[in-house]
Amino acid sequence: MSVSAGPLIKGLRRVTLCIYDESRRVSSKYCNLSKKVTNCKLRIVRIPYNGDTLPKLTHTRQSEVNKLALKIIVPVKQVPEVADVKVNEETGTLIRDGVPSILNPFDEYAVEAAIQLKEKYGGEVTILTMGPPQAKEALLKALAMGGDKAVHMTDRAFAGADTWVTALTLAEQIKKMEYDLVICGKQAIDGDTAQVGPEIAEILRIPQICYVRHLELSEDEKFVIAHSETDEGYDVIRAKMPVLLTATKGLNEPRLPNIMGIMQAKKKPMEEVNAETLGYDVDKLGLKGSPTQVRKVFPPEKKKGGIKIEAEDPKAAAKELVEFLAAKGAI
Amino acid sequence: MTLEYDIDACTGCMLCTKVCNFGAIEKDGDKVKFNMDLCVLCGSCEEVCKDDAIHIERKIIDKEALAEYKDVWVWCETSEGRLRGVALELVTKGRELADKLGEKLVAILIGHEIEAHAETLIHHGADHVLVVDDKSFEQYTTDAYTIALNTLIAPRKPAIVLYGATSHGRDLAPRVAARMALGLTADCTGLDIDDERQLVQTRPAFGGNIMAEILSPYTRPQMATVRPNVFKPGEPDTSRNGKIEKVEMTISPVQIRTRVLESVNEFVEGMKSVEEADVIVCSGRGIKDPSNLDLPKQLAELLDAAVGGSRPIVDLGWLPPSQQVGQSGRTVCPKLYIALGISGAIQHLAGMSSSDIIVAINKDPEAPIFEVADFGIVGDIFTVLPEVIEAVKKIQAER
Repeated sequence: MSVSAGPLIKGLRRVTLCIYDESRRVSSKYCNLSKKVTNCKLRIVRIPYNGDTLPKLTHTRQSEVNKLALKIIVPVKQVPEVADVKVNEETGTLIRDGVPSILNPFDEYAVEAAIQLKEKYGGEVTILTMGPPQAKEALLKALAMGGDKAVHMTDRAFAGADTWVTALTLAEQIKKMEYDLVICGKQAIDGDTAQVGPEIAEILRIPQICYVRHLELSEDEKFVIAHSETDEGYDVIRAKMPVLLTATKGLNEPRLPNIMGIMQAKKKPMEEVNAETLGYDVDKLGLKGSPTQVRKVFPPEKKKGGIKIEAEDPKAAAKELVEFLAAKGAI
Repeated sequence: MTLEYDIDACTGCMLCTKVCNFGAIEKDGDKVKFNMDLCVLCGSCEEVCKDDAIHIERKIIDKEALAEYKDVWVWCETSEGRLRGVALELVTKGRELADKLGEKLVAILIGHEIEAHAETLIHHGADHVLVVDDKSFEQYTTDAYTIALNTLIAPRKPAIVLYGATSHGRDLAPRVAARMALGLTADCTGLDIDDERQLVQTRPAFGGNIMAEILSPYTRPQMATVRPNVFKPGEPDTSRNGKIEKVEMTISPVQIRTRVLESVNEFVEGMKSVEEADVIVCSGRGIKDPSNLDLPKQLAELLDAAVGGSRPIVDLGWLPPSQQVGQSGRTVCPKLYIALGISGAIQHLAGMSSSDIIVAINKDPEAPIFEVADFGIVGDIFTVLPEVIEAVKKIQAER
């Protein structure tokens, strides 16, 4: 294929390669070669290979590209590594010093899912976050994994938002973008609410499938078929795109960014959006716009450890335990 | 809402920096500096400030408009026609809240052929049951249930709506709340009414490291999801009377944008659900090999208990995901929780520390699980557990 690529795309600024490929995978080696030959912007579109036409190379208009390629938006959050957060025993407050900030682990499943879809069907993955300037690190990680571009919503006016306003702010930005899929993590590990995803879906007026642990597209690539975790097992749910999904454990194994990815991430487009460029009434954003309000925070009631015995004589220890439980009426 | 800091009044005692949970206050010379990106205006600093240098201005509340909203509502989830356990927990708690407000408790029953449960809900404390019974609600879908709840809530104006924080409850509640631009507090572990008749919603955050009290001061209804197994269901009172009202509602298939192709039940035959069991025998990494799970299973059988697992052993596939206890698994609150070879990472504790009685057996005397255990045995599970099984058998035989 690459042999014919040179003459065909020479001299064009923007070219789309439609690759007829049974395996549905686009070889990155091939893309690199083409770039070298042409020095033009390259977009790859996959067209299903029905088996009778020979693989051939062509170029299409930009509008056709938009129709074909899957557009995926992944809203992510930077969170403190909750496992490292300790509590000051005296004051009962959180010790945040030295606690690293990470890309929310559930969001990694979402990023990975988006990249896998892109690799299979072609398309573009946009990573979106709302957060302080340092949240850029979370975006860079997602870009290093394989996201194509990022949007960083950062403004003092966004700060202190509860779940509803967070969803509203993100959704207002998403409304300005094209998308077939919005994939969120199931929940952020600091707040654990699992609310922002469904709230975005509602504001965008699109259907949602939550707690997704298996994902595929229908034959015609218009529908999503997902396994949504329930309390008893899972539901197999089908929905027409655009649709919002929330990703949970088991969906995939998020890749670790490699050096190449990390270096490329810094060069990928990163757009900054503030309240003004978003064009939304600032009184309805951030803490000011939040319908819920934190009144008080306090340390959880610490359960004191009870009896603790050494099992030097297992038999005696077991007897003591069973007597304790019987006395409490527990067995 | 804004925070005002009177720098001249501040004597630099630094008390506020110590109580801030959000790292928003820093020492700045003899005074302090506020980082409003981190501040959530929780008011902890305002409370401790001796110099009266911190003022938080909150929005003015239109009390008259809010007062139009009355009654406590609970959504009583059904699954395959069966009333879920959390429904009765919510009705019991809802009764308590309604009594404090001097208002009615309304139970919402949505599904197909589920009307028989209305009596049960009245016996547990409901004054009024709204029944929406239609074939289109036989299976849970986000769209159908959201439409049903919004249709009920909008004209009737309840003050409070509670949902169980089950997988469907956590799918539905944000959708309903967002449609009406309302606040929603997730996974509450405590609910109360304050002097101003507001719902005080208490929930854990940061993996259970801190608790937050949350209000929805400006919007009604106030909405919250409540973790299953946190509140206890009350005893039914069969002499109670209430009103059962059927609401006709049909959802057109075009309004339902997702289609459930198949519902898969993953519960392994004979394996009890950890969420519903009174006793759980839970194993961790200390069990070493899947074949060793026979011991916990034996004990579970004797105690009519569910067999649970911590995240590492579920990740290894030794037990199905339905049996995982902890933050990324199920939250449980049994009468008795027996932890075998579980060290007790904060994520695990977040899922089980509210159990009535916790027993831990672990080799490591420093394991955090002992900090929450009512009875801990420091020792090898493989020598202790068989003795425990024998001792249980013995005491059961004596009865």
